[in-house]
Amino acid sequence: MPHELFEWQERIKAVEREHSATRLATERLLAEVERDPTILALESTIRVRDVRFASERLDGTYIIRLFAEFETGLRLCWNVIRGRDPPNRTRDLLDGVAASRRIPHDVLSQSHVVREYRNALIHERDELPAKIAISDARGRLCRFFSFLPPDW
Amino acid sequence: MATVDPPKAANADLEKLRNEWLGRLTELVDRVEGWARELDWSTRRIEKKMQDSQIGHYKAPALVLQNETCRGLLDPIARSAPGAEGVVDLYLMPAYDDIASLYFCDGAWQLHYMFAGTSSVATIRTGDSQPLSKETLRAVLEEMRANAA
Repeated sequence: MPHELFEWQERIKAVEREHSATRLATERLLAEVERDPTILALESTIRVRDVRFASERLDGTYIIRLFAEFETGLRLCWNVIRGRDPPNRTRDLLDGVAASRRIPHDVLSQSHVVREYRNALIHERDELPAKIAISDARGRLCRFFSFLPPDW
Repeated sequence: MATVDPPKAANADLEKLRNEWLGRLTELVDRVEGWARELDWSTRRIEKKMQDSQIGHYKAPALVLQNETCRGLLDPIARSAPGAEGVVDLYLMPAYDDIASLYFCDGAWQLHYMFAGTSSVATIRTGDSQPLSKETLRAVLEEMRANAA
């Protein structure tokens, strides 16, 4: 199946838009249940605290999704342009793509910062690195992606 | 430029909706492309694969704009939104930073942008709007270029 750079960047951006929609919905719901907890009565498995947790963890959830789109695109690109399986370790994947596409070091290191933050979220490390906003992460990953071929 | 992959159960109404939307988009891209060229921006049309729960899969026109090292993308987002019959975003590339949003309301495109001198808001879409014109486009593109430099 052919892939286009533009489409993969659009997929990354779409995750950010989805986050914005979900953030709005979660905040509205949270405000409403705090005002009137009985609106959850019909959905007996959902508690107010579940809504609160969902809201608190939303940004992290979407950082993980954002990076998943980015990594999937990179792995598919590697398969096609290098004709072999990509490395298992994501760090090596980014370094390898950066080397073969001559991606500037600062663009690579900015993407590694997102990867490390994603790893900290997934592995629930006690000490999280500095928080990265969704828009910031999207910008870093789209910039890295822009160095890939227009199609592959 | 715009192409269509109609769902099997397409009927005349859905086809009409799709054609109206693609016509509206194509007319917007034509206008923005013309103004951008007059403002010394180079342009390139591309196609974007779209998916709509009502009208199915189709391809819509998008527009890449470039002036020196500053690059933008006029990107179709949705055929409908509350109070609007079409949403198109303008991004600063390659990071896809939000610059402005265009909403088709009451038969005309409205440009939502944090124009200089207006109160700051949480998102571009809740910002002040002005009718899309060559002058409002020029203001947005000039500020985009200044910020990208």
